[in-house]
Amino acid sequence: MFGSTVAQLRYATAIARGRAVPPWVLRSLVGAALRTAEHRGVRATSVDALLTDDAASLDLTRRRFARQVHYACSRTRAYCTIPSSYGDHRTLPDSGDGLPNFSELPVTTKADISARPGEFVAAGVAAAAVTFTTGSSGPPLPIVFERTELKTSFMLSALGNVVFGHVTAQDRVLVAHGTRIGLSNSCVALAAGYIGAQVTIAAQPSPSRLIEMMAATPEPPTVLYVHPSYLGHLVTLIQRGGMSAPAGLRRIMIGGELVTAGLVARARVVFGPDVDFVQGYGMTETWPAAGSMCEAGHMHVEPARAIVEVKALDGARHAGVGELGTLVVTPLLPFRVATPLIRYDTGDLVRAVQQPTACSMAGLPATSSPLGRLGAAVRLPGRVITPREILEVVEADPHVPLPSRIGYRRVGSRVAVDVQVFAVSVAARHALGAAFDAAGIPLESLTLYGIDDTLPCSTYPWRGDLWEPELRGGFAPDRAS
Amino acid sequence: MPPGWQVVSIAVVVAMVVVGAEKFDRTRDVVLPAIGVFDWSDVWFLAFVVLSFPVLQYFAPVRVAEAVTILLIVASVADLMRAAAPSRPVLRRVVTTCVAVIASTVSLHHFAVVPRAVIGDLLLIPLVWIAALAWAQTGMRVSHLIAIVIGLTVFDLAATPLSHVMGPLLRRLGEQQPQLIFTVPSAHGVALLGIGDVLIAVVVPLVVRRSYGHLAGRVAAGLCVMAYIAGLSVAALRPGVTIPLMVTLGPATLLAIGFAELRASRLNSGSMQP
Repeated sequence: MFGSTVAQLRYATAIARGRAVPPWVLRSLVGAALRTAEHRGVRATSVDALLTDDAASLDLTRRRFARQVHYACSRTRAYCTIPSSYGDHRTLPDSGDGLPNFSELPVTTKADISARPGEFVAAGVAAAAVTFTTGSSGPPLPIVFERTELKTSFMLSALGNVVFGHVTAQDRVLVAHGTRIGLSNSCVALAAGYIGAQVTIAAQPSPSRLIEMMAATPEPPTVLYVHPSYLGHLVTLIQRGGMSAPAGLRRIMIGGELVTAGLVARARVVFGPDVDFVQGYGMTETWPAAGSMCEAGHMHVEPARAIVEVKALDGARHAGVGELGTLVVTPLLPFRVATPLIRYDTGDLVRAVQQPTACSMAGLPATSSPLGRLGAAVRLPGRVITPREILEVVEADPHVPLPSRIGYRRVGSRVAVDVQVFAVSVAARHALGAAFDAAGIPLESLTLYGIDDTLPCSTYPWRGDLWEPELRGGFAPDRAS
Repeated sequence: MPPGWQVVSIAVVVAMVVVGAEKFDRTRDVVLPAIGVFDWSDVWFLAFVVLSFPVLQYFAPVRVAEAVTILLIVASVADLMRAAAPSRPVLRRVVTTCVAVIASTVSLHHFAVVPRAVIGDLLLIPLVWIAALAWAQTGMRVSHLIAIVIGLTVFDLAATPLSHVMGPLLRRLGEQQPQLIFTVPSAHGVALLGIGDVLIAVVVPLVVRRSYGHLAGRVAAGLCVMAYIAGLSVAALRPGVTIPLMVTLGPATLLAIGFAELRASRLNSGSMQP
């Protein structure tokens, strides 16, 4: 108790000063969290609030932003032209939200990193790992990580899992992400290992193979990590393919893509009401800033790890409450050292929400849940239709196989939508048309395609389609014998 | 005050503190650290504190020692009140009141000995309670308790003969405002009662009750109070001499645990019979 208290204080000090968290502190915290969970249970809405007992004390946004700018200015070629006044919280411009406007300090985009990736790597930092982004929104980008920041994020992931009760020492964790999701897979595996859970990394085989693997395991997995689209494959396979749902699951962790209410509802039917679905948000560029979804549908980010802003779509300003914008993230010291990014524009659409929120995670900065990629949104006169709006309609419909195959485009002031369904029928057309009307999406046309047809243009690529090929044939006979 | 009455009055106060802690433990959870359980590292930490405390007290400036005491007391009162009445206005009022009481205690250097001692003792009770409740509620086990009690008994036995060291230390503790030691008015001025002894008397019944049940807890509480009376009786007969109370409290604790263990093993073996 005394040791973990000292560790908590030391952790808070490290965050406040932007210095590396000593390894003994992380080990002590994870150990203490495990023992506490075993003794009296531990549940919290935020790791940082839990550790420091006061999330507000961490909300030194301006000071920490200026320190990150100063670090990036002094260590990287990409940011060396930023005026030195931005590296001091006393002289940092204030646009009313405590931070400068986006015209004063512009965002960093994926194109910027792609054009000159080496300029974003901090000088004097030894690279321990180079991780590529998945490539779902453009060519994979290399992001460099340093040893301490990797270890810190793995340990904090373990701590978060214990604190939120996502993974316990008794769990058997199965990670069914593609091998391209290297950073996330490593983090999940090592975090589960620190906790003492059993870990299997299955990569992303065909859904039927995964179900066979789960059934063949002596003790079936209790926690499954999958992408939402891959979960959709499992749901369709179990519902229509005659396979039975794996037994023993208690939690499915989904993230990396949009998670719709329809997907969760249909998965709940297949996997049973006792299975808990936990959504998360994260990306390699903004690692280790991770979003957690609350019961009110907000996405909250730990304030110690990153500063989150919402950039309005129509200008270089912060989005007002309820306004649509793109999520802009600045990962902070000491969690982001090797590749500091200032105001990274994720390209993910969110809405700004009133702060503080009235939910169980009220102490943490929040936005709405992700609404899809900006590039996949449809801009109509006076309105933007987000990918989530369309996907929520489509994936809730039982005529549509999961993951949904859709294509949509703007036609005048309306939207033309192509949807793949199990079987083209009047009932399916009527149900989908009514659902689009109810959602307020003005349809120019709704074209249905059968499950064996190919859509002329699919708007949304899915990570769950990246199945790993399997080895074929047996071993060659031993010629010597 | 005659020595007999003094023993009785102290025993009554100690019994009330022990029973009060037990009542609180049964109805309320104090505000514990978000993560952290009492384990063997804490036993070692306590051993370090017990050994280094006299040294710190000897060399640290009085103002520093007093500031630490004030912080501890205020934190304890606030913690107890947050557990008893979690709404913030109550907490604010209590903390304000507590600070005012401490401030008045500190400022009353020329106050009469008896009222000052009573205020000091009343402020110390929450500190003892919160430490005992926090240890018991974060998972202190009987094995931890045995190690602590044996260690403290040995320490008391070893340290008491060093009266030229311990005597001035106790006097200094008694003179601090607010004090970090129980001071009891007596026929010969004030008798000083170590906070560690009272803490042990409070925590033993809590841990024993959590491990062995209510009856064992009550027996432990009774044995601890009786051990106190025995120790105080010796002190009353020999005024001016430092009496190591752990010499009676330590065996009483072990006796209580032994009784509880014996009873538990009998119950268990009985339940196994066909």
